[in-house]
Amino acid sequence: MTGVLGGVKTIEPGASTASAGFGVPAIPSGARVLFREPSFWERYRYWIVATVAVIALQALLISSLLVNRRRLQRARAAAADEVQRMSLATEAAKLGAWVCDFTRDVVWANESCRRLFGFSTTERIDLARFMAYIHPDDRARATAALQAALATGERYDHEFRIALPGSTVRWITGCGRLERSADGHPRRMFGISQDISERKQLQLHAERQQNELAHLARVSALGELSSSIAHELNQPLTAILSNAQAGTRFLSRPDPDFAEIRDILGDIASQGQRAGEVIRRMRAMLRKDKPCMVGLDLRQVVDEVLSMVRSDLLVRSIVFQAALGDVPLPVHGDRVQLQQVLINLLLNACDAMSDVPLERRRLRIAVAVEDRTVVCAVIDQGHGIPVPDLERIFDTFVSTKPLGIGMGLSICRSILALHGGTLVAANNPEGGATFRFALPAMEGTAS
Amino acid sequence: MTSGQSLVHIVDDDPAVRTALGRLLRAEGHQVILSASAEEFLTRPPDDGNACVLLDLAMPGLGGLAVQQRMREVGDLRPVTFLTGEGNVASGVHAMKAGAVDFLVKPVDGAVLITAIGTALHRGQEQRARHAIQRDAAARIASLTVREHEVMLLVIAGMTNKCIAGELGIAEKTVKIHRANMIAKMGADSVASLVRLTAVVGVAPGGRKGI
Repeated sequence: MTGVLGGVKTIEPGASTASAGFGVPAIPSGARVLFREPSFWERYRYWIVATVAVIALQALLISSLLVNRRRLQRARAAAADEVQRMSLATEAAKLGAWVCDFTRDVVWANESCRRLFGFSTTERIDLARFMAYIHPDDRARATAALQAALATGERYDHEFRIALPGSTVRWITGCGRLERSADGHPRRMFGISQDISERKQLQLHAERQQNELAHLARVSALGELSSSIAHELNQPLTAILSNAQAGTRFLSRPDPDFAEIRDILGDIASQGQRAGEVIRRMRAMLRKDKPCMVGLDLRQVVDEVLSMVRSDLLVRSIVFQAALGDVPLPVHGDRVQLQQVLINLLLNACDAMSDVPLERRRLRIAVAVEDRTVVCAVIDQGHGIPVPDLERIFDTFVSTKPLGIGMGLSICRSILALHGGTLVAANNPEGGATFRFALPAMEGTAS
Repeated sequence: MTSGQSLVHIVDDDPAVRTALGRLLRAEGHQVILSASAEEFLTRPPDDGNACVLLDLAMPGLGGLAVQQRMREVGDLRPVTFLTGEGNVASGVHAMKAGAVDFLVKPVDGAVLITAIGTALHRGQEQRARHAIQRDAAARIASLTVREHEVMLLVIAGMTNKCIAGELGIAEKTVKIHRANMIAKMGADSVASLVRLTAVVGVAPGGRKGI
């Protein structure tokens, strides 16, 4: 029998010992076993602890997941906002954003960019299609610029025209930044394109106006030089006429001196060329061409100008001295416009000396190469420039001359700016003024 | 027209023009000397025969007008013909007033130039002749004594011997002697020719107000 005694259980012999947790056979017969039944806690302690631990862990996991999700949601919202803002900004600024993936040869482009180039919203774009829209005249340059950016890894920045089918030509500026893969190959390029047609139009318009203004000033300078030019033409014409008439007379002699006649004909030909050169130079000054930038020796430009103004200087009793040296002065510029600057400065110098005594009417042109800059100075001995006017004289419509309209120096300065140069004025300590202009010296020319 | 010893100086800073003008005048039978500047021309030795100068108006350094002035200052009588690039009226007037023979505008026609040079040489010849007379008259006047000179001035003023004697405070007889010597020295055959001779040198008649 089994009884309970103060929580201690007794197992009588013959009773089932299953509840005691051990096999009856283990107990010798007749033995009295006293035992206490274990409590729930004692029995399930480990289970409970394990369960609680698991639950706690899960709770922790779930809460962290929840926090993370919240964070993600917030980030996503922020990103969406950012995208919204970006697209708003790009839309407002009509900026076309694009990403060119070189590994897959696909171009992602935003709405504005697609509109800019005339792609539909769903069309797949690759680099070749992109390039195909570039104006044929600009395509080679644009490709070269892109290739250069790919090769050097520098920022891609280029202006080009695109020719949309059935539409006008538009000016686009594109800039992009390159991203390379781990092995150094170009992977992607992020970029922005913008329609700058309006700005370009304005710029071209301004350039055209500047050009016309310069042309007008040239024509007016030529007007001032007309007597000088007439003289320059008159000289060869006089020589030609006299030579021809002398030749006729020599020929009508009974024994013509053919050597003399050959000399005469040679002179007639060379004087004809000389007259032609005067005309050519004048025509170049009168033409309204776009500036044509070429490599020039500034000494030659000075020489040509001197031949144009020589008789003007003579008539005004001005002694001029031009120390041009033997070293070439290589500059990159438009011949006619640089001549125009020099003519302007020379005529100004002449005007400044029109009321000084004859012996003071000296004009000097000095040239030099200083620190990769070609400098040319026109030095007069006139009445100088009143100090308050020293900077003002370069402004438009400011003139210190009674009949001046105040365009010359402002045009000179803008011509030099176009050439990457400068023009400054200063008074000489010994009287008179010096106008000095500087141009970047062209590299890579033999000196 | 003029040939043989006629010499033309061509002064022009432009070598092509200078040479061509020289050829034209040589073809016409003149001798030419070319000068590239006024300074070069002015340092050349004087010419023996009849000569004229063809001057470019506008040259670096001394201009044509300045050359003409220098020539006048040193008594150089060679006629000057100007050649100019621009038909500047003011300088033309100035040149002509200063005694230029002609004022030609470039490009000048050969015939016009040849005519102008002919005129200049002709004038040069006349001037040389006049100058010879002047020189002769001046020499004659210089050979007179003070008294004879005084008498001469009064004679050409139209005074009679008696008046001259009164004027000078000497006897009429003495006046007659002085007068005869003076007439002989001057080589004049009449009072009229004496007047002409003195006029050539620019001697003014004397008289009560004079002397």
